[in-house]
Amino acid sequence: MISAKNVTMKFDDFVALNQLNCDIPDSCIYGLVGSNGAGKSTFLRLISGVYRPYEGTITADGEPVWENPKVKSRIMYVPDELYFLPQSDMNTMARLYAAVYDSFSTERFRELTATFGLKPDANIGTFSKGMKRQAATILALSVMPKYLFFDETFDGLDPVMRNLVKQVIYSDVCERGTTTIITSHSLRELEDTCDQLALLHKGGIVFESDIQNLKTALFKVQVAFADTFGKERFEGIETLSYAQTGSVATLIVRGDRDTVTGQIRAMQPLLLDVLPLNLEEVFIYEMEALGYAFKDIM
Amino acid sequence: MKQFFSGKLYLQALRKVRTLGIAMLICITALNLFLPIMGISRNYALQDVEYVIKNEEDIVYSYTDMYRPRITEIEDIGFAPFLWALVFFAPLLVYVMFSFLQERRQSDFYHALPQKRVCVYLSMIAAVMTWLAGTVVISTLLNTLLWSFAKLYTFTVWTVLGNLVFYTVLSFFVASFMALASTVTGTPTSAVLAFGFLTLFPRYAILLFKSALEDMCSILVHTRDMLSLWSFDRWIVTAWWDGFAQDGFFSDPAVLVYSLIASLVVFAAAGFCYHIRRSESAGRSAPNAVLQHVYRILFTSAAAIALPFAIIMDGIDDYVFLLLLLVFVVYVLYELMTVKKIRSMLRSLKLIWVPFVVCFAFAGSVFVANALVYSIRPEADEVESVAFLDLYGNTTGCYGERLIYLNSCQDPEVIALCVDALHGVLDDEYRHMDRNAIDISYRLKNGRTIDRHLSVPVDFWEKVITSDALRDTYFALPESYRKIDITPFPIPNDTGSIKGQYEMMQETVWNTFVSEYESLTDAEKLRMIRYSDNYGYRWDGFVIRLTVEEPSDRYGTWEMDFRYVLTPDLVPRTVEMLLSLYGTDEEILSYLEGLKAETYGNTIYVWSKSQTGYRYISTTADRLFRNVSLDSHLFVGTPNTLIEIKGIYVWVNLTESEVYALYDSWETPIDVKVDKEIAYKCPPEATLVVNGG
Amino acid sequence: MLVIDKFSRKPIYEQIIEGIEREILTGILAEREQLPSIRELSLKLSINPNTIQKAFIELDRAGVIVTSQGRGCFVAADARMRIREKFIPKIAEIAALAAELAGAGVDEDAVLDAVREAYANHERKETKL
Repeated sequence: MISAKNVTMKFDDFVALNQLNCDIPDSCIYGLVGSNGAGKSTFLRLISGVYRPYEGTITADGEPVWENPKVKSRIMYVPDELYFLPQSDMNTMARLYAAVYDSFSTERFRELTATFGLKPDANIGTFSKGMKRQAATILALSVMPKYLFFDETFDGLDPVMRNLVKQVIYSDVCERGTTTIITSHSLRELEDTCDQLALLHKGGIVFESDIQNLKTALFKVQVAFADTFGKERFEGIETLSYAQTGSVATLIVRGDRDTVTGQIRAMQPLLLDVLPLNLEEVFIYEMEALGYAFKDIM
Repeated sequence: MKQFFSGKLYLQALRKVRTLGIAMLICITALNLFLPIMGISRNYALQDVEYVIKNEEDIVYSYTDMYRPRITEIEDIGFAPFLWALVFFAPLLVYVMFSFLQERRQSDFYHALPQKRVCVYLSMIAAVMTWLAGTVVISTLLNTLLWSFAKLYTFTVWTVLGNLVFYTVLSFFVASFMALASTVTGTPTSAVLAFGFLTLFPRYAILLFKSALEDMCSILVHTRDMLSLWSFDRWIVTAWWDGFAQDGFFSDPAVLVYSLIASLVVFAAAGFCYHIRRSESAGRSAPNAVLQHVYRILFTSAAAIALPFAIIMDGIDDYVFLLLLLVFVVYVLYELMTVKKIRSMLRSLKLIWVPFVVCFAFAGSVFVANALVYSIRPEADEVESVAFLDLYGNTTGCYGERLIYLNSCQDPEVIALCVDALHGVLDDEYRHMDRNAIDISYRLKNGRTIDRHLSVPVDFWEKVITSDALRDTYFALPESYRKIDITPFPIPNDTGSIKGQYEMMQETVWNTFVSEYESLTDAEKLRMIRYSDNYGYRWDGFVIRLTVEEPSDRYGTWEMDFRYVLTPDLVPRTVEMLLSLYGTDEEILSYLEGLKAETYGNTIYVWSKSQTGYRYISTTADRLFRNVSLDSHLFVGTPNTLIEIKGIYVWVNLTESEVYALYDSWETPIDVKVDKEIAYKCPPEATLVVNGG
Repeated sequence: MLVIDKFSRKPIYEQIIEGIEREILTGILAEREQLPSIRELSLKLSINPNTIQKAFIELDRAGVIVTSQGRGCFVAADARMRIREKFIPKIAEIAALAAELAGAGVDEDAVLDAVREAYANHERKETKL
């Protein structure tokens, strides 16, 4: 498990992360969203042991990550801007990683290069951007780490590749309990793959939850009554948003769907529709509830 | 151990700079082989390595003199371009190795590796050292093998080892500063500027300080203080630029040891800085804003201290204002060059006053040091001994005076004289007197030694040499001598071995002289010594020239030459003795005539003055007498040829064709270095027959 | 046979639960039969294994499946009964729906016929198998 406690990170006077707290459980596929400059890459660098926090602690498996080769050898970070050794091919990079990481698997490396259709002896400098991303992903997966961090990597892969990578990740989660963190701009993308989601904004984790919980905890209720009514009728029901036109009210409700449905049904409505929300809608309403306008964030 | 070094990273690091490393290896080996190859192609005729050829027109010699790292004697390290290449490549290698610290993506990549920073650093440094040492060893060994294969120079294992160590330490020394510069900065520009600063500033600053202090403080002895260790000719990077042949490195191993220790310390410092470095410094000219200020101020201070230095040395002159401007320019330029933003440069101006504070501090420190020097005022009872320093080796004078200079003196009277002189100078008592300069070293009872350059009244030295303790020393004559020369004269008696008589004669003359001298009064002795001293290089008259070897408690043994001019008013018996032995012109001529028959077929030696020295001609006596009629040449004009016949030296004036006629063959003579002793017997300017007195 | 619609607003794990229950009810998965491993399902359906695990945990808690440490997940012996128990509360939905229909004036027999029809169809399907 990766644990960040009260982590603060500064660049001169600019505070990138402010007293951030976050726990990433084992075997989890953790999605991290945030606008550009929110601190996603900074956060990943912190937990990879590349940066040292100004305040707070970062531990993995109970030990601090900074300057800890034992722990760092279980972590593989694929950054947003990739770097390969100059004039190297994938075999050279694989040799380096094999030398430095005990868990590197040459077999998997060969499998993946074959599957992805990349030539392992071609100069990586000649690859396209997308191919470079694939190369970096292959190398990272071949390391077979316990912790795998993808910094906006998926955004650059085509759907076929994305799917292939996902398969590998899923397989690793099942077999070795790999923990994966993926950052992205796109909620849609993360929704498919991740089981935990967090929103990073203004240097802190604003929002963190299990995706399934996210999707089920909030739902939309459209209800109409014969008589005139107002918001007060729904006291006792946790409402994030309330809109009414005439005799039809639209509520965004947090709670157990069946319970709330029963509650409202008991009020003898003329019309009752209970609809699930998609992830973006959930985010919007949660953010509004927290006082942010979502468009400011994304 | 595994924590601190990784074999795999080391191999990776070796590979990382392999292009540059191979380029370095090729370049330096080529430079190192160029000279032996040239030497071989030109010098194949050289048979005997004992002679040193001295002819400026000979290209081979001038090339080899200029370029080769001579591998003959250990002291003989000449100016060598391959060392320049080494000094260039060493920091470049380190720069490339650590260039990842200057770009964010690379920096993140290396910092993400599961190794401790110390491990990464040490592995990389080890790789750099391997490339450097490897290049040095390979190129030097090839050079050595080639020289020895051609039998052009001899060498010993220790010589080669010494050279290897020296070259390797030199490369490590320069490389270490680049390592430190790379780990405390984050951009190429700032790294290079930091490297220049770290390498040059300490020595440059101390040099400026030292020069200013010496200019201000007239009582310091320039070459003997601690700070002389900091001059550029004792800096491993530049010391060999002039072909540091005589005072070679190994006669001063301090330079080598210091450089080795310094390079290890600097490497360690760089490792420490790498360890504490924030990864996000990559791509920024300094790790944080505060340090950027510090670096800028330090760099500007380097330019700034030229200002107080110039003012101390020359006063306020026009160009001083240029230097003032320079400070502003450097300050602003540094910021622009490293950060490249005008706004940042404008913001940095708020600290521009700091370099001027440094200027004041510099000037202040010079004044303080000066005051400290003047405040040192030992009393006579604090001084254990004094010694008079002959710093430039140009003290002429008699044997006794040399002895005084060689040995320190513990006599209270002399000490009191010296201490009074020091006090007098400190109190500026001698301002209106005629003064001489003298350098005195005071050894104090507490172990300290103070060297002072004093301007003392002219009677100071007289008081010293006539003091009870030193008077006998001053007037002493050498008890034994290694060699004695008295102006040569032909001996008319030709019975027995001329040479033997000649040597015996010299000893008798000397003994006579000694006994006469000892009976002189002090004043008369002083006169003789003064007269001999002031005689300069006029060699006519009777002059005894002595070569003496004397042990000293400060310099080991010392070889000195002394002259005693013999005048009839002081040493009449000696002069008479010499006159009696000295023949007239006719006696010489007839003696030489007599030699004709006796020396027929004998080899005689002739030295004929040429443009660059003396030509040495071996010929036979009959050839000489056949081609040269000595009577018409002997006492005419300015002699230009010295002939030795049976231990007798005769100066004559010969024409070129006469000289050539003496040659056994038509070969062009080879110029050699003439034994100086022979030349000094009678320089061409003098005529042969001289009367003493 | 499990079909997951990723674009549906219904959470994936719910879809999995329903899918498995459907397979058990239709006999595709027999009682006491071993369920495909999470890994298998994850790779086949391209779904996050944690999501599948969540579904399995739910099913286990409801008693529909039994998890045996080290050996995998098995359909419970009385799985059908358990599922049936889960469905029983849904009768309330029918009641509510009926109330709506009644309120709209729909004929009672039509509703009852529909219910009977559904059960009859199911019987036919069962006998076919």
